[in-house]
Amino acid sequence: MRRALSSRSVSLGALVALSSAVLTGCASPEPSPTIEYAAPYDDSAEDEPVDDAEEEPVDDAGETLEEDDEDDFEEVFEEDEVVATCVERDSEDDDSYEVVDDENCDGVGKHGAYLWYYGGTTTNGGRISGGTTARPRDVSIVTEGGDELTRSGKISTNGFGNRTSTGS
Amino acid sequence: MRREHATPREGWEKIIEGQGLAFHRSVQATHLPRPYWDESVHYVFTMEQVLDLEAQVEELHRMCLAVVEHVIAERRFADFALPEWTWQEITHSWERRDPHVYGRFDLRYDGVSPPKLLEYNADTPTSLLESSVVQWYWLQDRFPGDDQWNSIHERLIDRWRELVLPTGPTHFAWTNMDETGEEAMTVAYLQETADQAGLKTVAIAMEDIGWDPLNRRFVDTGGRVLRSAFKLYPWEWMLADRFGEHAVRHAASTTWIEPLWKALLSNKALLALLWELYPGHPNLLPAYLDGPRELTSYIVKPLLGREGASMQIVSPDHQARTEGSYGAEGFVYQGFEALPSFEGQRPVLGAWMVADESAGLGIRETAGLITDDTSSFVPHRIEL
Repeated sequence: MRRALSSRSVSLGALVALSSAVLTGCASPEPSPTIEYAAPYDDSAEDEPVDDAEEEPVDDAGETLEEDDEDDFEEVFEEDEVVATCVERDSEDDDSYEVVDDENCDGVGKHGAYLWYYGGTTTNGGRISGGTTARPRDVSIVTEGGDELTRSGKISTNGFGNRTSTGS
Repeated sequence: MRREHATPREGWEKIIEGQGLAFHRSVQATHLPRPYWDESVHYVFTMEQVLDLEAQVEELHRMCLAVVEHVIAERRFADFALPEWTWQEITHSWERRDPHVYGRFDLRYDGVSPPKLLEYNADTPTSLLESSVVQWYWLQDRFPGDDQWNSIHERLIDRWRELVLPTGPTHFAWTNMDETGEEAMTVAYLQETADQAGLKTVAIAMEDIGWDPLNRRFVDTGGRVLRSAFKLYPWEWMLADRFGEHAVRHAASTTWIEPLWKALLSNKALLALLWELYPGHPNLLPAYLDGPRELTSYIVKPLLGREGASMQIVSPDHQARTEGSYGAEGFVYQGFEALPSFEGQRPVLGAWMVADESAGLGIRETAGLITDDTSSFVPHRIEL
């Protein structure tokens, strides 16, 4: 009895477009094709993008900030870029906090032991004051390490890659 | 099994490019005497041969899964030079049966004696489109009355359809360091099979994957969470990368395809473990991790190597060595049997697995004893 090993109707849409892209890319002396894929998936209903330009400012407890708070950080942040520093929540004393390693704030939540502190100046005693725990708006927030801190946290990239061939 | 000649189709370059195989030009080095896709020759099999091969390939796959089970039960991870911090998560990945999609066995086969396993490309195999699509259309054009060992395309679609993946799109990641376009092509093809299965898909470069530590998850450039991701990027490289630890420790937040447990199959220590568990099996060549032992003809292969690089043949009749910088993790010593010669060319059979079933065949030929990135792909048919 013969076994059907193959039968198909292969339709190849995006791949043919890709083929053209590769051909074009490889025609240059240093082939490095830029690939455009057909019909990227629009999942705007799925995951919230990290772009938070339109959102109300919130503090790290997720609460919407009161007007007084906004006044506070408008005073504090006149620059385009603010440095976020990780501090220990329970160390608060007269609006100053004990500074800890930024890694402690990886995955920080509203009830976590650590939180981000925006702006301010550190003292020799390893404490920071003069800033705020309220997340500022319309400024770029970075850590001392240079990572950008978005609404959903610090997004770092270039953690994969920079290799040569992968196939086998 | 025999090698036959046929006149290439007129305008074959345009034909295969129209089917997506574009990189054949970029890998066509000027010093090579033949094109990467070479339809001036092909191999002919009987149906009986192919059915036998299918059965043996599926048995090899089951044996490989038994090795994974054994390695995890006996904690043999060190034989694979895997860092200790990955062991527990590899175990979890296996215990969860994290879903797998495809792989390719490379076999030595002469049409007479049993096929011998050379290696299992279980993590990032390429030459997929050639096997699945391009040689299929060649068959329709040239030998429409014959058959081909090839249900790769349908099986891939079926596999994507049956997988239970997290909600949200599935990302398809390649590395943008690939200059030939081969890897982007392979990823795009797999993405297309997933699209045809009804999945929502998004393409991304590995280099563009971001880590969101607040929520402990990977995100793409649009801020979308990577809940499931196919990657044409080997696990051993991921583990060595800065994000490797995130990928391993937070495996529950991203379903990676191929899964972490496949790091045990794409590593050539597999060959030694197979021989240890199945000594004398007709589809295996003897293989050891601690040296050649009793072997007088053997090939030294790096545990983690690609495209035939960093290999050395030690034999009374043959001496050969390929360049490369692999081998830091160690080597496996595998019994050497020269690839059979058909009119001076030596084929390696690439037998495709989709999920746990045999799915098709792709053949690469080279004049040398080691199949490397200068080999040519040649089609095949089953004579009816």
